[in-house]
Amino acid sequence: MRCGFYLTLFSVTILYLNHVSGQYRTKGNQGPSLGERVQQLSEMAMKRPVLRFNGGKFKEFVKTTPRNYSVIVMFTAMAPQRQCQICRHASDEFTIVANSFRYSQSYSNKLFFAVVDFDEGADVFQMLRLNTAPVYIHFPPKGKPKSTDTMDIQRVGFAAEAIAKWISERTDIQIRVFRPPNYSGTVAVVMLLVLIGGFLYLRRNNLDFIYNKTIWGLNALFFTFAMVSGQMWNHIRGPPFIHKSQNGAVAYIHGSSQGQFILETYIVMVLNGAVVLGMIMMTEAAARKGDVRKRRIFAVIGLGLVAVFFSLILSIFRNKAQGYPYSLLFK
Amino acid sequence: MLKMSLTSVFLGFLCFLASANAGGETLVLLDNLAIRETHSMFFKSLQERGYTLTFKLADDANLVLSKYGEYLYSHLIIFAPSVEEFGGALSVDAVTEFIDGGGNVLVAGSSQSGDVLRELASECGFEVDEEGAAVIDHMNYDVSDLGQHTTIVAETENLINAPVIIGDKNIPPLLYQGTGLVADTENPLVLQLLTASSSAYSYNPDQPVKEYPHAVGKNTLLIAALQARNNARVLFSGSLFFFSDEAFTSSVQKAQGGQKYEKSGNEAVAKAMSKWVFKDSGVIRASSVSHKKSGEKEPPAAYTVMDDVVYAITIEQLAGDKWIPYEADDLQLEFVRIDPFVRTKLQKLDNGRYEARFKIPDVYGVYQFKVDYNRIGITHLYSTTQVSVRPLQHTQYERFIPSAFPYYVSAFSMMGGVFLFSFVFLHYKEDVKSKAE
Amino acid sequence: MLPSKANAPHAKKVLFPDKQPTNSRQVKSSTLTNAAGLSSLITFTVLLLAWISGFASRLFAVIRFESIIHEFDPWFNYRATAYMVQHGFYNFLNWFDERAWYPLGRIVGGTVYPGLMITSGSIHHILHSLNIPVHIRDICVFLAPVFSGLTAISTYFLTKELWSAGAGLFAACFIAIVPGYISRSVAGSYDNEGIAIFALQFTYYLWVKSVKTGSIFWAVLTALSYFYMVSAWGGYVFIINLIPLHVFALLVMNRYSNRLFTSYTTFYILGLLLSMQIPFVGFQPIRTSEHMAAGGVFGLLIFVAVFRYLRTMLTKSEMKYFGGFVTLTAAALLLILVILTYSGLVAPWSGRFYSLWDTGYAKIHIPIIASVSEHQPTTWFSFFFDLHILVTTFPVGLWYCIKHINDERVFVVLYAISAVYFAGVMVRLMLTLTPVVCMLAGVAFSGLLELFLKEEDKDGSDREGGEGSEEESEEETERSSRRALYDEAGKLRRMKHERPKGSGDGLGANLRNGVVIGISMLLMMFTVHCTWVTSNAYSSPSIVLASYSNDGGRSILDDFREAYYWLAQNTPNDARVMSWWDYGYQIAGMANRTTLVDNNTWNNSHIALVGKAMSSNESAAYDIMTSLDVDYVLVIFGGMIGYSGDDINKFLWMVRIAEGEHPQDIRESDYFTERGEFRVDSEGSPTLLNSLMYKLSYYRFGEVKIDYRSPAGFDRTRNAEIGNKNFQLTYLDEAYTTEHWLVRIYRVKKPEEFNRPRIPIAERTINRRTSSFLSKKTARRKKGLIKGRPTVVKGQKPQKKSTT
Repeated sequence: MRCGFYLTLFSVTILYLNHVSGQYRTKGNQGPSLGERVQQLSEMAMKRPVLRFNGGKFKEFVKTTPRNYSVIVMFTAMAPQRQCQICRHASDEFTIVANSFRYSQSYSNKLFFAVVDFDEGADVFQMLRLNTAPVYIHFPPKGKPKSTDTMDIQRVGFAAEAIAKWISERTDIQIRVFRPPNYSGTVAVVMLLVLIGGFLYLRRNNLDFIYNKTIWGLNALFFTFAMVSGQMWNHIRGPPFIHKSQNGAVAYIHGSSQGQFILETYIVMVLNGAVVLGMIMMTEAAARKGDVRKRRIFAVIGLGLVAVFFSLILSIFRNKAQGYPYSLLFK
Repeated sequence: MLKMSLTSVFLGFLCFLASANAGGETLVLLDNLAIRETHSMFFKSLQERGYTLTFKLADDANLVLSKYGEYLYSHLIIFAPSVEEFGGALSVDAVTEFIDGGGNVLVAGSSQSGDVLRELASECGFEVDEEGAAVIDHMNYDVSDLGQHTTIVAETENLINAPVIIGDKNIPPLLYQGTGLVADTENPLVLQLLTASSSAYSYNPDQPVKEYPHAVGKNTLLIAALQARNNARVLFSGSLFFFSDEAFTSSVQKAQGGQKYEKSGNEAVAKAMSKWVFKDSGVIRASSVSHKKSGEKEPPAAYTVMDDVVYAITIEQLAGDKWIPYEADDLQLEFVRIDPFVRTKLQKLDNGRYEARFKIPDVYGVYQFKVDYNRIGITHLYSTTQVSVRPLQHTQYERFIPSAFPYYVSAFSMMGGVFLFSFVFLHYKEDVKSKAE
Repeated sequence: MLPSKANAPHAKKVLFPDKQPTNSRQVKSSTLTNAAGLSSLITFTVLLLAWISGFASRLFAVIRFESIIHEFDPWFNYRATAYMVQHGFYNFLNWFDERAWYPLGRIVGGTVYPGLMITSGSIHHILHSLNIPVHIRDICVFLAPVFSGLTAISTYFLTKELWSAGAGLFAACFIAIVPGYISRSVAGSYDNEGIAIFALQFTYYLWVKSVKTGSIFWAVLTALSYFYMVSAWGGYVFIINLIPLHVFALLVMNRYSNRLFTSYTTFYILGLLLSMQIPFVGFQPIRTSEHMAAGGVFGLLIFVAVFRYLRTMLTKSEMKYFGGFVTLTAAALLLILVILTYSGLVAPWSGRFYSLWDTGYAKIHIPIIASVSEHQPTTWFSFFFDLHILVTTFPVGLWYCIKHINDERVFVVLYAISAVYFAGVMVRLMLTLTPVVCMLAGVAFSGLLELFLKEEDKDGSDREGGEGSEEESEEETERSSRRALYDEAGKLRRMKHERPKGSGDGLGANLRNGVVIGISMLLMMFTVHCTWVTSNAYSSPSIVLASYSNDGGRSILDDFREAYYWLAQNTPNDARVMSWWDYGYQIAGMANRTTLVDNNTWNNSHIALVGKAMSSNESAAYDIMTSLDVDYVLVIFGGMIGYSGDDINKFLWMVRIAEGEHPQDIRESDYFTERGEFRVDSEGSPTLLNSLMYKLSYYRFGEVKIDYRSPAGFDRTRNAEIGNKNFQLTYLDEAYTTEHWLVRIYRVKKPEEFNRPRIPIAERTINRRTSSFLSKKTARRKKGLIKGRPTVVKGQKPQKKSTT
């Protein structure tokens, strides 16, 4: 009975909060006491972990004192006409943190997550003198946010783990980030398997292509080239494709031996492949039977390939390694 | 091992100093030789206790404390309140070096005490009130007072609660006339031996009170002492008068109707304090530390986890110039690896031996037996012994654990099975052949 | 391959044409008069030369500097070996080292792979029993080069099993001098890898042998060699995953055979039991996921065997039931495994292995792994740097191995592909890639040169390739004949035997010679490259640094040993030295002092404690240091000579590791400037400028002017003038600084040294009006001054007025 009454009251307040415009609320913002505000906030947090604030609700819940809860507010501009791409990612990460806090054991009404969109709360942006988005600011229970209460996105980025870490630094609430598992990879694998399986099924009457050594050989060679040309390094370090310096000069080869560009690795891959091709051609030329002229030509081409492309690799290598003395055909 | 021997040697060295101190060379610096007469009782009491006093004027041109790095004196008494600068090689730095070198210093100031004493005081962690300032108490001053209410009567309950320093407490009240001291309260090494009563304050009696006095009420120190971390002792009294024959002998009576005592308590307190500050009392040492596995004679090179270990320490106390067992029931032993893993009470055995028995925890590492005994007025006793606790050796684990019996069974059954099989196999073949034929 | 059939008949003519197998044996055992004896002699010579050249090319460091143990881990290995030689094996096994990881201590016997120590210890024992007095240090120094020769030989055998003896000789020569392997096996780098690669190759050889013969004997030998590998290096996991992978692949390719069954089951059971005898491994083989694959394959293999057996005697319908039953049991087993994993009985993959698959893992979760430079991914540059021409040619060998596939070539293909993946992920795993690259490149080159030298054996025989090819032909004949008995890999041979007609009419001598010359050019470039890389990159014992001046003069910076010997000579025997973990082994090994953390990073929290001490301010650090009973602090500082590997450059890792354990006290962000830079000059963040590491590195450095152009206190490594110049240390004082300031040692003050609580002038409540008392004492007049004495009154009037 009583709780029923409460529920109705809260639903009313929720409606109220959702529909009453900002300045109306600013007038009444000394109305609700601390307890009520906490009740309202936790009620809203129950419905959705990230609260959407406009100027008025921001003033009511964040600006008014006293507070016994801290609020993590993300200031963003999600509206498409703002075309802020990273805001999308930022808010996704933010929502992940909020969700994982919402469904964690440490959930309490000491911490709330809110988002203020520029188009809804421009006045808040002016009030806090924010001219960039996204920005994460932590509003501590007492006192104004200090400089450290603004998360340094430039340095730590806005990955969910980083946000959780920062929150646990500011408010000693440990949030264990639980990402909704990313199924894209598995889905891709499953798709691939399904494709292969279907293919096999279609070709079930003649499966001898599986025993085709050439295909396997080519696959193996390709994998080897990819690894040897440092694709794994690219995958982990994520270097630029090519390097454009200020004066517009484009560098395809990284200057030092510590780094590499993506295009560079492709070049190396091609060169390796050419050398291998050359050696195979030579071998086959000598091993095959058949008319001698063609095999001679093959052998010559193979030798040429090996010599030229190997010396190309060597020259690139020499440019990257300072003081490397040796070189073949090219400097 | 080695650590233990080191520590014991160290302690032994300290105690050697202490024992040497029992009646040692003492340098007395005076304003003027008259003080030697006016304080004769105090000096005589010292000499009776076997100190050889050397009286010098504070500005003597050839004052030296140490020669060729050796200290000529083991104690220093400065009864020269108004000295501005020591003579000879003596200076504040020299005195502080002397203290850091283990020497004991007894200083008495007055309301006219000079800058050197202030420096010295603040080097030791307390401060002397401004020049000319005296402790004034309008409630309980002595009848013999001349009207400035600076000759005050210090109640004995204001003495520090440590009989080892100030001896017996139920004695006639004390006469005091001089300046007040201030000490920073969060300093653990400074002992507030005698504080003024709550109605006292320290200010210049000739001037009207303009600004708030530096020392008011009970945090006006009359006599303060410091026991440095190397157990050197410094006692600083705001009044030279306190030690004078006049103060020793004269009668005490509070002006506002206190009862009359024939003789003040100064003498008793002064003697006790001098005993303490010159390390005649309150000096203890750990004369021997030993640890071993229970039921063995010698300590092992390294203990094994879960061993039962016996730790014994002998603590002695300096009485006169000989060591007697020290009796206490609040000694405790810690077995520390970063944090104390075991903290147990040391049980008292005969003549000063204390012993603790406990089981080493099941955590290997390098541990320390640590006895850290720190009491007011008693020299700091700190003894650490490093031992290493090793895990079980490969032969020390139990062999036939029940959970392994399935394995044994399987192994042996396998052997038997193979044997039987081969047996059957061979003979079966035989039969076949025979059948075939 | 052509010469095989070219003079296979010839060989057959030499011998009795019938019952070849026995004869081929006789060929081996016969004298030099026939080709086989000659070939075996050549083989022997080539291998010997390979061994010698490999040994010689690893001696740069010893010749340049001296016979000294190299960088970090070897020092621990050396210390442990010396301990074992001195105290015997069982004491070593039970060695509890209380001088490491103070105050935790370390159970050395249970936390090392003892193979290395046992190897060199037994060598020492043997030599001494022969009355050859060699110091254990020299054995340790020269162990790796000697084993490189053994590696070459085992590689020869493996390649010979896989392809041909000529390829084997090529592979042996390659691996003898290839930088990728020299990098870990130069003289003085006394580390597990040095012997582990030999054990790896030898195990693989025995495995291939056992798969081919299917004899329990070889399988047992494989297990024993695997046991040696387990005792030598943590990389044994590579074997215990690769061999099951091989078996699995063979099953998938429907190449099941009883030989496979015998060899794998024998190897698995014995290997499992043996590997669990190593204390450090213990129960891992049955409890960690890294070893689960082997068990699964074991079960699968048995199942397949049973299945095949049953199929011979059951009818279809029964088979169906049986299949259903089998699937059920398989599902049940899988379920059990999963349950065990979740219940924690089976440990999931350890972090280092995660970092192999999920390549970003270490960077996020395990800073202590990510901080090690060896765990970085590999650029194409370092591939080429370490393997040069081999990296561009071994795909050819891979190609031909796939083209002419058979059981053991499946193995080498898998070996190559997995190894190349791992090498791409971690630089240090280049080591496991190198042998297979050498083998495959050997296959490629020998294949090529055999073809191009086949008529002109004589011209070609100045190069071992030619000899290899020729000698290989003999091997071919005998093996092809012998192999025809059991394995269906004869396919390839048959193909070769068909080929002769075509290949006879040749490409012409010029072209042939041209190709031969070209190839030999490449090979020569390879050798000079190897020599250059070895001498320039891999031959510096990072204990002793050499700096070259413009005129080519070489100056030795021996600061490390200077500092360590200072510690050994001038500090009490039980002094505890705090330093960053890189230097723990060296301090223990050279200075023989107690260290707090060292290079086996088994306790992250303890390291984090040291990192916290280094990165917090002086007083906070003093509390930590007193709680850890630290007596001395040792820091490496390169700012004076521009040595880039010093502690300031590692400092951010200390901060990160400390932050991982103490997020409340240490924040990485505090050590960056507003713009997120890490700089030591006056713009640097105050937290950094006041951290202990900064102060210890730059103490009194502000007074130093290195040259006239740069200002005082100019850091050459960071090219910046330091921001916090003349400061004093409260809780430490400088104990020793080496000649080039490379190592700085500080003594931590004891509490007794803060004897009296003096009140500094600033904090005094009673401000004295005459704080400036000017002394009247002079050299002549030593008389002091006492107020109110008649003699001094007149002189003192103004003074007295001022004082009152």
